[in-house]
Amino acid sequence: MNNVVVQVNHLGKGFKIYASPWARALEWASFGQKMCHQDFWALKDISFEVRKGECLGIIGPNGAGKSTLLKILTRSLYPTTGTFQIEGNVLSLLELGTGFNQELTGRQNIYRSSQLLGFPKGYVTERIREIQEFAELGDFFDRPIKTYSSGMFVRLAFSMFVFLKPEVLIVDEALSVGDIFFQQKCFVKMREMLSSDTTCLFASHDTAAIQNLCDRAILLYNGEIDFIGVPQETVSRYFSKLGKRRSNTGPSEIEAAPPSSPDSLMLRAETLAHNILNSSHPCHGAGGFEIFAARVTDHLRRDSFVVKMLESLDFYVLLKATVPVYDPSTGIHLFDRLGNLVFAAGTRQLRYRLPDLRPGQELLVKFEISFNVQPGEYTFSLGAGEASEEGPNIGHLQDRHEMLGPIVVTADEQQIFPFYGIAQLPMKATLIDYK
Amino acid sequence: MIRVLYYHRKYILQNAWNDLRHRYAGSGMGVIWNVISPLAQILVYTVVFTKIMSIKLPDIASDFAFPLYLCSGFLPWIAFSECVSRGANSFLENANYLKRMPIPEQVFVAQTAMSATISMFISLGLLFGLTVIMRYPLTWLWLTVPLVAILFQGFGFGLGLLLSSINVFFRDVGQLLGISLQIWMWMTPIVYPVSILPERLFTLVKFNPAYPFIHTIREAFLFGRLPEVWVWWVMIAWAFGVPVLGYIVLRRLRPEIRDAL
Repeated sequence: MNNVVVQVNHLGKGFKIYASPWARALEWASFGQKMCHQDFWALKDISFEVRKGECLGIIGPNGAGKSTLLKILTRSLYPTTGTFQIEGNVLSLLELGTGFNQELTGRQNIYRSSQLLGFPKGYVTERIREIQEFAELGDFFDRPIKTYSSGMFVRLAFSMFVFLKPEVLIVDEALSVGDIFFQQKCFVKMREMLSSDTTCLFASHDTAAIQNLCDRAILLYNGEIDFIGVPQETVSRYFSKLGKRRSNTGPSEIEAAPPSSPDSLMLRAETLAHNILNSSHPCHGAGGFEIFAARVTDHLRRDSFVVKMLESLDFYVLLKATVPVYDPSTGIHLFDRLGNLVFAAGTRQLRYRLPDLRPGQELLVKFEISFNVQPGEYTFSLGAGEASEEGPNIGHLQDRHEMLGPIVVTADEQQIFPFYGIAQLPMKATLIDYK
Repeated sequence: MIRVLYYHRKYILQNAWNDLRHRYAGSGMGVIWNVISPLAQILVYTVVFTKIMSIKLPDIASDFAFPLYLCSGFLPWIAFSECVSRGANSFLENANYLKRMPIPEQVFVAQTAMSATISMFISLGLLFGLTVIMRYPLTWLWLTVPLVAILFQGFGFGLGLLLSSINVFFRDVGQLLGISLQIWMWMTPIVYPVSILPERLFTLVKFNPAYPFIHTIREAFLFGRLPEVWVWWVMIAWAFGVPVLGYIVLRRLRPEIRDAL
């Protein structure tokens, strides 16, 4: 296996928790014969590798062990079990500005910190102009750090990190720095670094950033790797971890459904016959409420994955409950070619209340979506779930099918495009005055 | 350990220097305070011991004898005790850096030891200058003074290293240390001559690890005498043995130090 830059083998980190300093003293005095602590394992058996130039995202709820993992990899914490190897120089944005001296100027600090991080002086001298320009600090670049605002401080630190061109960059929640203009600049810079040979480990709660920047992503949950794979799937698994099922699953009496109309029976049969779901798509969820068939058609009810810009497609989703389901919802996510989420909504977002279900009951839902988006290829995913305890914007995901499609949106190149950008927003133009 | 310290030498020196410069930042006289506070203490001791308690030094009959005697012991001691007490707190003081950066722990102890040593050399330099101005006989043996002082600081660095690792887990160590250093100072003949001690106590003092250092510096500086060879060996043993012990302890505790900060 060549090109592996970061190799992590069965890494574990246990913190010893003592009830009081005396407990520790007792344990030391007995030379480890008598154990007086409790172990808390923040990380358990973590193994993965990252290749040169790859960007690995790490997501997980608070306390999942993201920061602990990155701290071990930057060597500011020692692992309890396991080993890891990193080739090349490592720079971590955890350290953002911690080595700065308040009394020195921005310029002096950059020289000092980078020497501390092991970069020779000449290396920095070559880049100091670029750093100065990127940080946009003006005259403040040559003033003591203590006169900086907090935003300026972070900008200086970030500029230093990106221009030092480390071989491995470790980023922990640091991209939300400065104003939006600086953030966009940082993103562009990060992309640039990633397209060169920089290997990157990137922990964040910002799932959009993860999907945008990373090649693969890890879902950490309770100190263990829950999933490792393409960012899109990791992110949706992360969300499905967030929502817990409501403890009371609604009213015990659920009404029997009215008899189906002949037309709806026909649609059901057609959906089953032209089902686009198969086992080759990634699929996950807690279960209990499942999508067992889906179909995509144009407005004439012909199977189609191709649609003209501004025209619509119909998505039929056939769902089945195997447990009692209270306040069910189903929805769709649409992703562009880069994996950016373009649009997501479901019955809950449309305030469309679906009936509660008994085990064995089925639902057939139709979505009609206008593709007011740029021409190009899109993938979509279908999900089904219930309301969760966590609030209106987090659902309890029970089934999700990923990487469906692709849907191709076409446009007539001879005509003026109705809009530019990712998607069309409702917009009006009015002539107010004419002289 | 030596390799690590050498690798970070610039960082250590620069931080030690900044430490001296900024300790009194914002005060009018700045760096000068580093010298003034020990001077004031020396003045107080001189007045108390010569005017109030009228202690005479048997060997030399100069009016300046007592201040010189006092300085030659007191200045190295101040540096030593600062080395130990600040060294023992250095991990806690620098917790911010330790938790985020892959800097080896001992660097921070070395940094405080370095700043104490620099300020010691400044005040010893002043003392030498003053002595020359007062026409006190100057001998080549003065050159051994910095050497012994450095050995003494090595001992201090070792103690600081040893205690700093333990202090992270038992913060009481830091509190106890201040008291212990006070007691230790008075158990060492620094502000008073050995000759005022009764015979029994004097034999006890000989086992005080700080005594050979203070005694050697003083003999060389005031009387132009060199100690016997075995005294050198004792000093070297302390100056190298304790840092090694400190490093062994640090190595054992290292995996947990940053967790406990």
